[in-house]
Amino acid sequence: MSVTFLGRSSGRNAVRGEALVSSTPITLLGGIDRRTGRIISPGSEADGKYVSGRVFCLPMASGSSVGSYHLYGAARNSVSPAGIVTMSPDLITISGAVLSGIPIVTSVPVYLIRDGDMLELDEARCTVRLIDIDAWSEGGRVTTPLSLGEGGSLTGSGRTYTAERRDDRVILHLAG
Amino acid sequence: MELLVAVGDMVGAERLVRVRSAHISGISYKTIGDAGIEFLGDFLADTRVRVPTSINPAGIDIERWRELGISPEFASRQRLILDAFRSIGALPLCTCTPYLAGHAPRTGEHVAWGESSATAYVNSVLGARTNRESAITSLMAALTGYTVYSGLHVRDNRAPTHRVRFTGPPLDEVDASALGFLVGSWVGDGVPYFEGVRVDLDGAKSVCAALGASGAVAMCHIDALTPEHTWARRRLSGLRTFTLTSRDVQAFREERYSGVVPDLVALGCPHLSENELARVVKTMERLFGDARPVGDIWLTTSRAVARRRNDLVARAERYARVVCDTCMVVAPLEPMYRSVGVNSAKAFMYLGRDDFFTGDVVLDSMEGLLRRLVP
Repeated sequence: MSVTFLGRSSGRNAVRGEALVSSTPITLLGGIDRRTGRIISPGSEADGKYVSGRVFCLPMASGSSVGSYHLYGAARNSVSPAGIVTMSPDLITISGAVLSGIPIVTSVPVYLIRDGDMLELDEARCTVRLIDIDAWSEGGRVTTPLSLGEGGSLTGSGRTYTAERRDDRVILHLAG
Repeated sequence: MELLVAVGDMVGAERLVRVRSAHISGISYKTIGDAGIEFLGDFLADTRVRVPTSINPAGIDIERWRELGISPEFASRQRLILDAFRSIGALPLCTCTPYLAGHAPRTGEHVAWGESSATAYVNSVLGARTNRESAITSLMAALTGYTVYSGLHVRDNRAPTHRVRFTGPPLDEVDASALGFLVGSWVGDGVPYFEGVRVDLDGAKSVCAALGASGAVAMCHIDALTPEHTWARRRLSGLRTFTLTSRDVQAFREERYSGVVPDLVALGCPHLSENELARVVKTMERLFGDARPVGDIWLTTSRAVARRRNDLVARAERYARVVCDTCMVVAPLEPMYRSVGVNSAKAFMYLGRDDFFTGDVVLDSMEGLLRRLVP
């Protein structure tokens, strides 16, 4: 079964890859080693891991506005993520990704994605599809995506997502 | 313009907004590297800024980089970047505090400012409206005169999202930055409202810098200081509240305490204001008298402040170097120094990262750091 998040995007590229998740914001300046793609962010579960080839999922960029250049530098060194998924649409991550040609979809409930999940990111459709998902643990309570009825909603980090059923698929729309 | 429109789509902006000024970050060769130079070389050819635009600190003091021990190779790469920005008509202000150097937005104006500390200061203290523009989007805004109309350009989004109640005495610069750092790491891209925080404009500068470093905060409200605080105050009910005392701030500092006597004490993150420069000078005169400090001291400030207060600079230079156009974070300190003392949680965070500096970093108050250098 799959779940599709409908977020925001502006590009035309699609990519498939394994999620690398940080549940806390990342300061891209000095937080991604431009030579190796290694995350340097103590306090994040992604610390010490490599973004290269992964779909990097983070709530937003924190810290320096110069972080965009670190993403760009990593891309020039061929160690950038294959795609980026964020929750808050911050200008630092977005402009860095667009400049670097890294596919990006924002306004996605990143906290529902687990490290290692297989994702399909499609900029033209503004979607992130989570493949082979059985159940989520949300706030300690296990929710099956399919248990969300039409019009059901999920709330996290101040954002509400409403569910739409299409056959055996669930599409989550950012409300508002 | 295409990139701006793409960014606008992604943040859900309905339109672009004309801006009155811009401030561009991503100027130091240390932070943008060769990839940045190549990008700017292509991108800035045959363009001009459309609005008054200042730029962030570079990696060198333009007039005295040799004396600081910076290599000619680094300086020549840095000059390429500075020449590119000069050619597009950016103001020759390399500072993170352009608002203290004659380039300050007015209350209510829409502007596009990069540099996370300046963004927060512009919204929170000056009452102008900017998002946390990135190095790239601030450049696009400077060249087009427009940015995306979203986020903090829209009044409703300037309402507080969290309430922070602080009890304790007035905060010095390092405590103010510790408070900002703690709150920034909790509220993400929220808009915290501070109650009970007694700071002057310099203290607010420290709070703003730390909020923008540990978090993604582009604006806060400080009781009795933020131009919109009365409007914001009516929007506090039901917000999540954090309660903090001076003990929390002390604990933050103690966790980062080290007794190291640093090779370099670097004060001025963000760049020193005139008042701060005056305070440092008086403190050095009191502590050192006719003696020489046992380590180097950098006082980083904007060239505008240094020129305006050349009397203070002359007094300061008995003990320290007044360094302009750059700072301890974006200058290449590594070959010259093995340990650095700072009074800013922001500088402490970045210098603690191997990409910036691999030596020891000490966080203490201005006076606490200078005392360590008394012979």
